[in-house]
Amino acid sequence: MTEGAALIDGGARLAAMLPPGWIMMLGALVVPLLRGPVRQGWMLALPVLGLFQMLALPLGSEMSATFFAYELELLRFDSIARAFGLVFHSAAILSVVYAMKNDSALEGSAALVYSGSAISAVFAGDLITLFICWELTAVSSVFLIWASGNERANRSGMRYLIVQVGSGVLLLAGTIIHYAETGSLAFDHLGLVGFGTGLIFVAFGIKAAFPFLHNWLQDAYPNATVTGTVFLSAFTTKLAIYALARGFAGTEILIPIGAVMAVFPIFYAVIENDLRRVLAYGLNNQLGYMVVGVGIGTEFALNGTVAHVVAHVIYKGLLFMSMGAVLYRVGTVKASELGGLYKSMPITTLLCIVGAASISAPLTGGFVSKSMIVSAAAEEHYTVVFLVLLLASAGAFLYLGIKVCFFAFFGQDRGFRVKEAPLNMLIAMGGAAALCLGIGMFPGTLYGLLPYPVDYVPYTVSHVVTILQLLLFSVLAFAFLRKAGLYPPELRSTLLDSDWIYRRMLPWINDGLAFAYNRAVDRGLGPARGLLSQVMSTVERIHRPDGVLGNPWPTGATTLWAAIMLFALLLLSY
Amino acid sequence: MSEEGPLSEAPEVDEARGHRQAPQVDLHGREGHTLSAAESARIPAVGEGWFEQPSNINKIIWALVAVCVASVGADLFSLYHKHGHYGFQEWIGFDAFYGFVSCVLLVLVAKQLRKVSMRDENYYD
Repeated sequence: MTEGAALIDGGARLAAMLPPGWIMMLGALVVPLLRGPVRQGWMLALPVLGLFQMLALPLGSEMSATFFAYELELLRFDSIARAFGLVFHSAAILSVVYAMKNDSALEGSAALVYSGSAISAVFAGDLITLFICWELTAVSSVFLIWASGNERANRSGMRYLIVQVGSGVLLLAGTIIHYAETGSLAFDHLGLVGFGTGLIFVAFGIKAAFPFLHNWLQDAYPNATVTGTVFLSAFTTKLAIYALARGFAGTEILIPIGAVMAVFPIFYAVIENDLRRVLAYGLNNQLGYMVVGVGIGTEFALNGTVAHVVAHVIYKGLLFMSMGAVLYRVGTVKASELGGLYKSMPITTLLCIVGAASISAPLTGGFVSKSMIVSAAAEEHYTVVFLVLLLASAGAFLYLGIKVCFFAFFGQDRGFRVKEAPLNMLIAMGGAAALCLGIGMFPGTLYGLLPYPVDYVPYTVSHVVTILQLLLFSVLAFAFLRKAGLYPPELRSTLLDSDWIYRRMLPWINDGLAFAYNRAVDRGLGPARGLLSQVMSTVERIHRPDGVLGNPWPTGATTLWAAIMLFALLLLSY
Repeated sequence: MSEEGPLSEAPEVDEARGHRQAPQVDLHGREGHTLSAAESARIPAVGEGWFEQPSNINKIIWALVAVCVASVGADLFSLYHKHGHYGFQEWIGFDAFYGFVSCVLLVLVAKQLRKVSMRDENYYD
């Protein structure tokens, strides 16, 4: 007994020495060894422990380690990292509850490593640590897509992995160049000042789903498993927003980028049939607000961005959970096949409506957070951006919230009769809904967590009435369009987006070039061909097992060559 | 997951009332989801739900119109002090008008986008 107690005590001491996120990453390795309720309890305990460990840290804590010649700052605990850490832990806990019945050990481990690496990325104080966590999120999260186990998900996951790892490679290249230029690896404000920071900016932009770099998101998320998408929706993109806020606050180019991001996904959301993909477009649209907030870069705007990340992670998770529950029970989330599910799944319906309302409506998270970014745009006199964000507020509420609720749960009853979502899913959704409403009704707690002091009162009569006008007339527009027969019907279809470039156009160009090459070789390029085959046969002769380069050289010869090269180097350096 | 449109294979339940079971697709981690006959019987038949009655839908729309009118009325009769960063934000019903027009425009443009970007569901397969 005492030995067991000592072991637990030792484990607790060890855990206290780890940076936040590591408990989940290391604990995930044990998951495949456990079974049944023990595994479920373990998976829930990890993020809960992580949360308590993080809350116990005093602001300003630091932790570093030496890696070759570099000093890595594994932990930098300031208020902006704390806010992200808090919402990431909450999302991990809710998602684990949601995924409680999922008995795939691989998925469970991957989800925990993914959440844990996203959390430790937020606390990384230098670019090398950030890079390691950045790549870990990419490599672990792809298993949540591959776990779907079908051909479409396999290929989508591979595309996702290439894009995500590509972002990491850019980050590493940018870091090396930045280090060569400045001699600093610190992850503080970088700004767009050179080639190195430019590469880092693009690396962040890929994960933040900037226009034309965005399509991995809508491609991959709807192909992940029921529970996998819920995890995915929380971390990757918000980690990128964190990185932008830390490194590029006040970089003006972010404002137009964010404004475009806030609008164009809405068009796709209107006509997209797969409701989880509609939510993915919605995610992209809300990231636009956050990018604008980072671009404005004032204390008020950055507060708004962080606040909106907190509110957004929770309500977007709730929406993905409710669509996941529909997929789990009905087997599809295509709007063209769904309708009338409020009869079978009334609690899910209600919770989904809370999630949709939380995008903007008073008494919910979105109302007290998003309005800060919109107000910041007005305060800094970005009139066009202000009007664009206002348009996107109306559109997002309608086509990302109401559309999802309406076509899944109301609309035309397609006759599906299924059970209500399982209890653990309802608990997770209920928890998320409670948080949405809690943040909206008592915004003081959220504001207290923000990086700068908050002097903003969301609940004025003027603000409440104008937002209500905006939202109510949006719904009226929806009713009018449907009554007038102008609203486009839900159709089974694929929509071409920027992924078409690498899924179709580039392969076509490649095929075309290969074709042209073959034709050119066939037609009258005989001499060139002869030359080519001569070159090839020479190469082959040299590299054959008995050729000059194919032969294993004796060690002495290698030493001699090395000595000659070193000598040459010595001469050159004088 | 659900690409195949398995509707045709779905076993029918309580056909007379328009009920049907969810399609039997192989979904990772999916457990028994079919309803018993008694549970199925408690759920209103197709077309008989509260939200499906045309009269109820009209009620909802009229309620919506009433709330909309009330929200603009608050502007019209200056029931509160309206303030914004820009002068145009203080016009009567600015947000109402802007929200309505935005949403109509977004849909009309999206319909045009469909002409360009819509392909068959299995386009990439």
